[in-house]
Parts: sequence; C-alpha cells; structure tokens
Amino acid sequence: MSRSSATLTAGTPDVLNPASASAAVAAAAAAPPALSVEKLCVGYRRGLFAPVRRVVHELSLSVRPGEVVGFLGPNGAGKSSTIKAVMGFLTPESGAVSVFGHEAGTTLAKAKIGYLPEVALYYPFLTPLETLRLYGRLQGLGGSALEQEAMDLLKRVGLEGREKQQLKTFSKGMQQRLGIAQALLGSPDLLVLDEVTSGVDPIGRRHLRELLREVKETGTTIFFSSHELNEVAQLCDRVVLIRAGRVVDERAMDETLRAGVTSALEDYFLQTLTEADRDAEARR
Amino acid sequence: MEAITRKAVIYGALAHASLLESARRKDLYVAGILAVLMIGAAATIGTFGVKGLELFLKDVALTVIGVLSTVLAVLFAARQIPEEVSHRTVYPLLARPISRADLIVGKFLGAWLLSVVGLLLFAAVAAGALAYYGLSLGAIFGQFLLLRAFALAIIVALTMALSLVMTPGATVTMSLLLAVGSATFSNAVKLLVPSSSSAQQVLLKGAYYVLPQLNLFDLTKKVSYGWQPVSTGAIGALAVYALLFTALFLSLGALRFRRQAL
Repeated sequence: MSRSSATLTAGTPDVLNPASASAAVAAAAAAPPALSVEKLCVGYRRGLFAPVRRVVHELSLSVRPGEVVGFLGPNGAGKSSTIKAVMGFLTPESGAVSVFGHEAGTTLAKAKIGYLPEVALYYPFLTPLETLRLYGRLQGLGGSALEQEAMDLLKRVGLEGREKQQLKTFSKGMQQRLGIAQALLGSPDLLVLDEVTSGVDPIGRRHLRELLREVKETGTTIFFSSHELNEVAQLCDRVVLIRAGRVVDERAMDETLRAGVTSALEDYFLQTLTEADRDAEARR
Repeated sequence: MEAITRKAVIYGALAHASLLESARRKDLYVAGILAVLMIGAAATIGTFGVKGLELFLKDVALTVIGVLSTVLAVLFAARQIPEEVSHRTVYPLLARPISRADLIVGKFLGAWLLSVVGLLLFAAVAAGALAYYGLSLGAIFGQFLLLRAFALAIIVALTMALSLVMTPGATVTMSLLLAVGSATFSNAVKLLVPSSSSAQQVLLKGAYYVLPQLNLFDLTKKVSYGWQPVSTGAIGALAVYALLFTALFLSLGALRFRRQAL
C-alpha cells in the first residue's frame, strides 16, 4: 500500500462513531515507530587482526511516523555510521534497528525509505531521466507512471530542461538536487537524508528547504543529519544530538530554540557539546 | 511468478545501466581498435600470399578472438562492483528494495552481455578478414562463438567473485592467469598425476575438478580443421557446466559481499 493510501485509511476515522475513532487512536499508538534504533553499537576493524574501533556506543533513538527529526553532532560523532546501519550498509556489532517494524537492511525496510547519501554520486554518462528510470525500476515502479513521476520530480528539484544532459556535466549542487529527486521517487514513508544541503549554493539551499517543507506537509517522516543549523531549526520537530557515538541530548524544537532560529540552536548545540565534553573529562 | 518478474526487472535495469554507461564511455572502442589491429595483422600476412597458410590464418584469427574476448571480459568484470563502491554509486542502488545478491547478478549480466558484444565484434572482423582471402569458417564457427559466450560467463563470474576479495590489479592478473592458463593447467595435471603420490593425486585431482575447465569450451582446432558441428547434447552439457560454475562463483561473490561494510 502506498503512503498516500495508508494515510487516507488510517488518518480518516469515522468521527461520528466514537468506537471507530478510539480504535483509530489505539491503532496509531500501537503502530511501530518509523525508525527505531536500540542500543546500536558500530565498530570498524582496519585489518584482519586489528582491534575494533567503536564509533557508535549503545545509541538508542526513535522517530514517530510523520515526525521530522534532525540528527546533529560534530564531525566524527557517528552520524553517518548510524545512518549506514539504518540503511543496512554495515552490520552493527550489536543492537537492533528497524524501519516501520521491519529489520533494517531488508528489502521490506528499504521499500519504505528514500535515501540521500552524504556524498551523492551517480553514473556520469547517464542523464537525470535515465538515472531516475533506473532507480524507479529498482523501486518497483515502471511504465508511464514512472516517466511522469520522474519528470515531475526533476521539475520540483529545478532540473527541468536538463533531462537529457549527461550527469558528467552537472555541478555538485545539481547532482545533490538529483539526489533529492531520487530519494523522493516512489513517495517513501521515511526520508533519510545525510547532509542534505552539502555542496548546494544558498539559492539552491532555500529551494531544497522549501521542497522538504512540502514533503513534511504530506506527512512523510524525515530523519536527517546536517551541519546547517538554520535548516534544522526551520524544519525539525525534534533534534537528537550525538557526540562520540552517544546521544547526549534530545529535545523538541520548542519556541525557545526556534525563536532565534540559528543563534538559539547554535547556542544549544555548543552548550550541550561542551557539557558533554566536561562530563567525559570528569569520568576520565 | 510475480517474484520472478520483479527479479527480471531488477536484473534488466542494472544490466541496461551498465551497458549504457559502457557504451557512452566508449569502452567498446578498445574492442574496435583491437579488431582493426587484427585486420592489419591479417593483411600483412596476406601480402605474402595465403596459399598453404589457410590453417595458420584460421588458427590465429580464432585464437585472437578467444584471447581478446577473455581480456575484455576480465577488464569489464573486474571493475563492476569495486567501482560502484569506490565511486559511491552503490549507495543509492542498495538503498532500493534489492538485495546485494541482486546487485551482483545484475552487474554480472551487464558485464557478460558487454563481453558477448565484444566477442561478436571480434568474430565479425575475423570472419570478414578471412573472407577477404576467400576463407570461410564453416557452420561450426557458430558453435565456437556460443561456447566462447558460455566460457565468458564463467570468466566474468569468477572475476567478479575475485574482485570482492582482491585489489583490482590482483583481480585482473589472477583472473587472466586462471582463464588463459586453464588449458595448460589441465594438461599439466594429466601429465603429473601418474607420477605423483596418492596424496598429491588427491590434491591435483581436487584442483582439476574444482577449477573450471575452460578448454572444454574451446573449439579452435575443430573450426580450423573444418570439422562438422558437435552434437547438441554436448553443447547442452557444456551449457549446464557453465551455468553451474557461473552460479557457484556468483554465489561465492554474493556471500562475501553480503556482510561487507560499505
């Protein structure tokens, strides 16, 4: 079932019937989280006999359906490793990750996700349209519906008129826009975006922000990492802050944080990380 | 049935993208240049007259087809997965509802089809060059090409499996050694077995049966000497043999790739 039809059936209870309404509320409460990460540990081994270097330590977080969560942290905090575990690109040492109740990395879980990698690279000799056709077919789409959706998405991300241009001629920002288009292909229930505006100029950034706001309004769950606090402040319902592979804080984007947009969030970000550093120092 | 159709769509999409990418990258230009060199070599020999050299010319043309198609197949296959990983194009692919094994099979099909196109290009050039001197290769030439295509499937699968455990340079070297040295190895085993101890015999015979005998797919001599086509049963048996080894190597590759951190 597509996200739109699922939203329609689950989101339009018969309000005149109290039993039906309460059943719908109960069903929503019982629904699995869009993303659940429990005690995730990720480590890398740099050689057969080298010790494992752990980069994510018992990290737990949960994202409710329809929520927009910003995943923040300094460089090397473990954001990309966590996202890779969510996508099934690496096998965690321990812990569990699930997407709408399906084990991460399985085809069932991946069918629910639209993903934008941190550094999005695509086949340089294909055109944007051919690229979207390829991903669409892998997604299980096809025919005229895929063609139409691909053209619509290219228009939405501002690549209209460049459908037949090979990607080798595209700038980094244009490739990132194509990345957004491929992530939105098939109207996924959960968008996982790793550094969404990386390499995009200010105009393109604003365009992408507006696009993500439109996506958010359709009820799509969004989980994204970013260094752009301005974006996070404007889009997120909640932020999760990690440092050295551990969650150090998570909170709703209340008015205090949203008020000064960037400065308030920046203060929070720096203050929380400084406190976390102090705690870590004290434990040592 | 729906699952089979879905897999066919996945493999088709991946293979099509590989073919398109290679065609636009002008990979087959290499094949074209090599083919022109073949014509040049044949023309040089032709200037001395071909009377009495028919057998030699046919032998050379067929050997060149075999060697060059093998080299191309190894080069195409060796880069399929490692380039996807190093260029990071693997992420948006594996973010789709497909398994890593699907990716390997799709990429295998792309590399194999590309190798077969290269083989047919070499064959056309060789047949054309021979026809220029009034020589023909007979009906068995079709079977020669079919069996080469089967052998290329094994070589591509073997190379892809090796590319998941070795560096690209080592993969190419090892694959070429195994592909080109297959016949030499088989002959060496046959010679060594009678004079070996029983333990050595077990090892040699084990290696003989574990490694694919690519010389079984080589009809060069039969084509050169103008034999009649071989039986359909033999072709069928070789098709099964190629399928089994291809499946084995792809499975080993998929097993290795299954848990590899990306």
